[in-house]
Formats: sequence, structure tokens, C-alpha cells
Amino acid sequence: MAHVDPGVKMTVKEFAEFGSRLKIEHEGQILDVTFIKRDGNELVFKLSSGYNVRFSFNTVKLIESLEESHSSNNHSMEMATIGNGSRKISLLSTGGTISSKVDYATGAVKPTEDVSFILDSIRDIKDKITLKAKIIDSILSENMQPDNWIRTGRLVKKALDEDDAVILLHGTDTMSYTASALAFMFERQKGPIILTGSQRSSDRPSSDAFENIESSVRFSMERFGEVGICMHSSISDGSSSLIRGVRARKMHTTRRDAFRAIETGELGTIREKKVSLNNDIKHPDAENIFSDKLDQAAGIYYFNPLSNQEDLESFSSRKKAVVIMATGLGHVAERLLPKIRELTDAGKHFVITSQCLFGRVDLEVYASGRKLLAAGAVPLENMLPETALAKSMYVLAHYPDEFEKWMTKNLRGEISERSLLHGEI
Amino acid sequence: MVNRLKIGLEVHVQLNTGKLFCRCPVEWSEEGSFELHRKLRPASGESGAVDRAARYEEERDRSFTYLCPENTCLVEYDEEPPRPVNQDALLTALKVAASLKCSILPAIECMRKIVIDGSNTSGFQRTSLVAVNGSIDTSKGKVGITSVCLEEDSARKISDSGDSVRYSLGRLGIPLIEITTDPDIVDEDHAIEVARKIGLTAMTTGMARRDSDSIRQDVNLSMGHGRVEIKGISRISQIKEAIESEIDRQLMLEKVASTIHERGGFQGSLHFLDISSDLLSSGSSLISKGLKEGKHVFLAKLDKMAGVLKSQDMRLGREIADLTKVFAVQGILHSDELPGYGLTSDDVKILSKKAGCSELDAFMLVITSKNKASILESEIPARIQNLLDLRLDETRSFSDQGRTTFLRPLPGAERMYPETDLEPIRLSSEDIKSAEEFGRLSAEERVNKLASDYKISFQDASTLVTDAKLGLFLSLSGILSPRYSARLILQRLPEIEKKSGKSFDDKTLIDLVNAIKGRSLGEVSVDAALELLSKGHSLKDIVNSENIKPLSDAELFEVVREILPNILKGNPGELIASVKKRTSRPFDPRDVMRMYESMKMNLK
Ligand SMILES: [Zn+2]
Repeated sequence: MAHVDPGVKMTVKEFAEFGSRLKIEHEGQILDVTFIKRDGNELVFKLSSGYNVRFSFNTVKLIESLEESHSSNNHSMEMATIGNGSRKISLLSTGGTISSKVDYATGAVKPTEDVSFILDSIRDIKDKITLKAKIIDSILSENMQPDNWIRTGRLVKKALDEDDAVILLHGTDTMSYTASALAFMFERQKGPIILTGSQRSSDRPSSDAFENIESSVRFSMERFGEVGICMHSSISDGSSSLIRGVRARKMHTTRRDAFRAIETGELGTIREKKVSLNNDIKHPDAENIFSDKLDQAAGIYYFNPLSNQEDLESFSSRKKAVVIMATGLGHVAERLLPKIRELTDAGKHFVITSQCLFGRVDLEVYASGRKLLAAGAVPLENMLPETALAKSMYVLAHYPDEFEKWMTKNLRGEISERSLLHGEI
Repeated sequence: MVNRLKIGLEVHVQLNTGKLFCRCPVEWSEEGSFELHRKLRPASGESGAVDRAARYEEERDRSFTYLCPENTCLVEYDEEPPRPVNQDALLTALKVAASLKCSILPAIECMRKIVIDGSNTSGFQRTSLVAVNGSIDTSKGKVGITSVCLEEDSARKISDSGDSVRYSLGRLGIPLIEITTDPDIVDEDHAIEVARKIGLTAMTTGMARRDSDSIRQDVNLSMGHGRVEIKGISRISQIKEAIESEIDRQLMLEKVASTIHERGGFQGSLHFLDISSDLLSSGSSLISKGLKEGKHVFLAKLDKMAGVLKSQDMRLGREIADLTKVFAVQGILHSDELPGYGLTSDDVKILSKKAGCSELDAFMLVITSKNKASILESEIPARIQNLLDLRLDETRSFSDQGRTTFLRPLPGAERMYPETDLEPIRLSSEDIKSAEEFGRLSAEERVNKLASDYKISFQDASTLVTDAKLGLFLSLSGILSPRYSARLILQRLPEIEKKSGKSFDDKTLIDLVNAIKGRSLGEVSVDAALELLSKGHSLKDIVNSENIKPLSDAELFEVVREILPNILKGNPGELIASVKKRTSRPFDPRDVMRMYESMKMNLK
């Protein structure tokens, strides 16, 4: 342990610069460190071994400043466009991270538009594509609102007018809401719109982001006109699924294969880099027809044993349409029925989906269902609640006078015509 | 030579506390494992530069298969963020740190250490610096302890075909205490002494896991040519072998370097000439097999290297082969080992001419794909240049053949960045105080104290510690008498395990003993219960079994009375064995002797 004269106490100014190399004293020990940050009452330094240490502010003395910070921002390999092929693909990011440069000092993930990471894995199709990456927003998925869908929709429309396919990078939490909204906003589309993201952050070597983007590029090579979500099919790498946006749901908080096609087949799969599409995938339209009108006076009400007339009423105030997530076949407590009747008479719409997510609502099997029908509620077959919300906003904006007719009509594949035995529950 | 040798150790001790970042157990069987497939990519750093060790792995472009046994969950699959750190493991690390006279850090920050050889599903190992600046006293002076870290163990490699690697995840996430010494160790024997001392210190916590590779050592060695880290030494005795073989290797390289220097130096690059079409009729099975698999044969001149690739005391060829093996290229031949491998001296002449060799030049043949050839065409000369410049710092592994082999370049500090999924831990003063309390005694003193506290022999105490059975002993001696616990663990258990070919984990044993105590049964019942356990009976069956219930005095008396005539006629030495034949229930042999004596008296 080296002995030195008591050093000078550090001032905020002296260690303000991230990345500066310093010689400091802490409890009698002399250390060569890199300054990282001040965090409340603590100073964070990086030792030469790579470990970070946190010392209380008043236990550290600066001995000398060894080197000014010279952290640079030049990423030599950064590429926002790759390839020069005929298939033109736009990669738009809403979440701000297409790939990440890890700031090894702080662990901060720095968003970039760099897509060079994908080059190695798409060697086989590299010559056929032009892939342009662009960050259009930097918003956490949970903060997404209909205004963001509209803004994003316009940019997707613009990109799809110019290019053959659009890949939209999106946080996974509300990805299926955005996908549903886009599906309704695009009445016609001349190419694929594919949403993708990552369940495991791109600052880890094991991130699913790399393969999800790669697979989205592969799906973008195909000719179809749907809004789909492309994510891992399983917790292993090597296979991806394309799921119709209006039938997709995030079913796990963290797993790579969190997104599932609920009661429907997948639009397509990729195994070992080979794409196969389902027969019922929609063909591309000749043009793009896009509407950015959405009426935001809608909401999802989760029925539960504590639900009462008062909270249903207060929830429904200032809303034109309420998606009820009912129990089982589509039931709510009898005590709510008078209120539903009253509000329906006042011009509000109540549409019924099920908390079961799997299976169709049916209000004709039991008396309580028939009473709910009589009260004016509209059953939505096996439409997912989140899809029903997005659709309500679309229908309210476009067909306010024929709400029930359009809600129950299958517009984008949001209702399964047949109840097939698809996969696990 | 000796005075320029610097040796440091890294000792890794697994803990039996349960896994570090999930609540999975540390014991498992591979039965019923399912498979998981993954790829890894390095994330690039702030400077735009990827850590060189990580980049190196990436070039190998491998895919990984993970076997997932029963003691794994979403955390091991990298499908869920880590749970908060295991407190028992953390406290154990603090105790070890205090015993090694380290200063414990007030706040502990978990870091991600990028490792993309597949041994961690996430692509990084979580590691936390717990304490720094300690020391231990040894017969050859003080040895500094650089640091004590708490980290998660990696997955165990099962097979490696070069392009794809299989791991089992059973081991992933087991807590490891990593103790790193300063380069104060003076020789091989000293290294062994230091490893033993550190190991013993960790064992006296009673939290060391009992397994064949639960303590592993890495050796850091320098002879003035850079630091070589030798990994994967699971037996202490191998430390000596590893050090000796690495010293020999570096002396050999010194000789190679000076020989090449005398000849005018290496020109720094190689040119791979594709000669696949010339060799179609080759008599070499290595070549014809490669060609059949669609590989190419490349010829390269090795400037001024005749005789240094393989001769009496020079082995540069092996160094090149070690490198190509890392890229899963096994097909490599060089002129020092030719003619041979089906190539005649005429072939050698033709190849030599084709390569443009003069007298002191050598050549090599590399049989591989075009893709890999282009990587090797730059990797091989770069490595040769490093070796000739005696820039030897790298990570090596100790192989079964008793030598060290190239593993990868040494990783830099850039590969560490904070684990953003976990908050830093601020230690409470009680935690630090209890660790310091523990650290007040040396490891040896603690063994002595164990013997006197529990009134067991010093020999038993020290075997309990070094066999990693201390934890079990402490648990059992809370239920049974310490002396009986020690005998059970050190004698009865090994006997039964040997006889049945099974081994029992601590938890099963503790559960069993607890259950028996719960039925107010004594030590004789434990013995009987263990026999049943070794025959495959379930814990529930054993506990409910009549067969572990000791015979009552009356029942035992009856048995002894029945066999008495035979014993009197025959051999009194068979008394206990005869009782055993009559009943499967436990009894105390001393009771039998007592009854026998009194019956005999009565008869008289
Ligand atoms: Zn686990």
C-alpha cells in the first residue's frame, strides 16, 4: 500500500468529465481509475481490471489527473444503408435502437442506425436488397399513444410508397396494439409491413434483436400485403414466426417466443433461413390506401367480481365505445346490465370480448349472455381485446353511424371464420 | 531464469448455497434434459472497437446447443432477467474476503464480462468485485491477494466440433468465489501451497460445494514476455505440471525466435496458393478426404522456418496447429514432418519448388474451406509474428496431454460493463461485521476450533473441511450428536455409498435425518434408513417404514432368547450377525450383548 500525502478533496468540477483517467486515494489506497459518473452521493470509477467501484463522495481524494477524457464518437463501420439490390426495404425504428453500441463504461446503450451487424447473416440475399435504416422516434413502447400510431403510420405509408416493404422496429410491450392500429389504417397495402423488436435487449450478445431483424428482412423479400409481427418461434434461435398483427399477442413478459398467434395459424415461418408462407396470406394490393383518422374516445374495461355500476359508468364517461373483457363466454354480472342498457340508450357502444383470449364469446348459450345482448352489448366472436380497441377507434372515426355493423364484420382477419385447433393455449 | 518468473493464481471455489441469480439448486442429474440452440454476437463498444477476445470468437461463427437439466430455469436460458443475488453466497464471499485480510468494498456493483465462447447463454458472465488488497502468509513469504470476486459459474462444455459446441447448463449460475493473488508466487511448489491455503480458507466457511471440479485454478505466469493465463486446472497437483510445461514452451520459443532472427527475420505475411487441382491423385488420405468433402488445399511458404517447426527442441508447427484448431481446421501439414502422411519425398520436392522455397524455407499445407483459408491467411502470420516477437500474452488451457494449448487472446478491460438489470448492493454494517468476526481466525485456527467446539478429533475436523463436508456436518450435528454425525459422514456414509454405488446430496441426508428425528427415533434408525436409501427407497417410504423402528427391549429380548441355544452350541462371535439375520429392524448391539450375558448367567 503506497503512502501519500493527504490529497486534495475532489470537487464536482474536477471529475465532471466522463472518461478522464485519474489517480485517487480511497481509504489509504492509491488507485488509477477512469471516472464514470456521479450517482447521488457516490462516485463511480472503473478500475484497470474493468470492474466498476462506487465510493462515497467524501471518502475519495484526487491525487492527480492523469489524462483528459478522449472518448470518441466515431464508429468506423456504421452503415445506415446496405446493399444495392432491387428489393427496396425501409427499416424504421420507433424505439430508437436499431443496434446498440454498448458504452462499456456506464453500460448505457447508445442507439444507432447502424445495420452492418446484419451483413454476415444475410450473405445469401445481400445482393438482392437495398436496406435503408432510419430512426423515426425514440419512445418506449409503454409510452406509445394513438398520436404516435398516426405519426408512425404516415411515415410507414411514405416509406411503402417509395419502397417495396417496411420493417418497423418497436418495443414489444404494445407492439400488438400498434400492429392492429396500422392494420386498420391501411385499407390497402402494396407490400409487407412487418413489426419486430427484441425481448432480450440488444446490448447483450445473446439478444434476439439480431435474428428478428434478419428474419424480418427475409419476410420482406416476399410478396404479400399484411401487417405482421415477426419474432422468435421458440426460445431457441433459428426459427421465426410472422403473425398477423390483429391476431398477435404478447403472452410472456420476457421469453423470446412471447408473441403468439392466438387461435390462428401463423402467416409464415422461417426455419434455417428458409421462408415459407401460409396460403391464406393476403396478396399485395396495387396501391396503398391509408387513413390516419382514429377516434380516441374508446377504452378497455376489465370486468371482475368487484365491478359495479358506478365504476363502469365513470369508466365509460367521455367514451363512445367500451371494449368489455368479460368472463368466459362473454358474461358480466347481472348488476351491470341496467347500466349497460342505460348507457347504450345514451349512444355509447359496448362490445364484448373474453378474458380467456382463446375461444369465441357466445351470448346465446346462457341466460346471462342473452340478458347482456338484450342490454345492447355487441359480441365480437374471438376478436382479441386489444385488437377490438384499435378497431373501435378506427370504426368510430370512419363509420360512426354503423358501428355495430363494421365492428362485427371481418375487415383484416381479426375474426377467425372457423374455430380450428391451433397450437397450444 | 527463476528470478524473472512471476506467478499468480486465480482460485475458483463453487458454493453449495443455491444458484447466484435464480433460486435453482446447485445439484442435478442430466436425465431428461431438453435442448436449446443459440448464436452469440459481440456488442460493439463505445470506441467502435469490439473487445478483441470477443471479436476473435465471433470470427469463428459458431452455433451453440445447450442441454437444460432439471436445475435450470428461464434465468439460465437467458429468457428472464437475473433475480436478486443469493444472500448466503454473498455473505460467504465476504467471509472469505475477511479471512484473506482484504478490504471489503462498501458497494458492490455487478458487471457483465463479455464471454462469447458460448459458455454463458447471455454472452457474458456476471461478476462482482467484493474486496481487494488482502494477503496470506506462506512458507516463502507474504502473498498478496489482489481481489475477491463473486461470480456465476459457466456452463460445462460437453463436446466441440469446432463449428458447433454443446454445453450443459447444470453448472451455469452456481456461485463461484474467485480469489486472485498478486504475482508474488516464486515457484511451482509455492503455487501449490498458496492454492491449498486459499482453498482451505474457502472450505472452512462450510459453503464449498462438494464435487470433483468444484475448485478450479487458473495460473497467471510471466517470464518477461507478457502474461499467460492458463485455465482449467481442476487438480491442485496439476498446477506444477502446467507451470513447468509453460516454462518449457516459452524457453523453446525464445530459441525459435533467436534462430529466425539469426536467419534474417520473418517477413510477416503468408500467401496461400490454392493447389487443390494439382493434388487430385495424392496418396495422402488426409488430402484426398478433404478434397472429397469439398475443401481446398492451400500451399504457403514459411520463410526461413526449416527445422524450427518440428525438430529436437523446436516446435513452432504445434503452435500453428493450435491456432488452426481454434478455427476448427485440423488439416494442416508442414515440411518438417514430411515426407509422411502419404506424401513422398518427390511430392515434397514438387511442393517445395511450387512454394518457391530455398534451403532454409519451409512450407505448409492447409486443407480447409476457402472461407476459413482467408481468415487463416491473416491469422497465422499474425500469430507467428507475435510468437517471434515473444509477445506471448494470451489465454491458454491446460490439456489432458499435460501441456498448455492456445485458447484465445487475453481479454481487455473493455469487455466489462455494468449489469443494468441489477442494482448495486450496499452492504450493511452487520454483514461486514459478521464477516470480519469470521475472518479473525485463520483457516487452521478455525479447524482447531471446530475440533474443540464439537469434541471431535482434529483429524476428523480437518477431513470434514477439506472434503467439503463441513456444511453437512454443521447441519447434522444440530440434529444428532456431533461425534455420531462425524462418524456417519466420514465412515458410514462412504461405506454405504461405495457398497451401493450411489451418492447422496446433502439435502437428502439432512431431510432424512430430520424426518427420523421427527419420529423420535435414534441414531440406530439413521443407520437403517441409510441402508434403505441406498437401495433406492424414497424418503417418504423410508420414514414410514417399520424397518427403521428400533426393536423394543422386549422384542429384542425375544429374538436373543430364540437364538440363544444355537449360539451356546456354536460360536458366540456370531451373536450380532445372528440377530441381524432374524430381523430387518435396527437395534443397539450393546443391548444384545447385555441380554446375552444376563441370560447366560441365569442358565448357570
Ligand atoms: Zn435457475
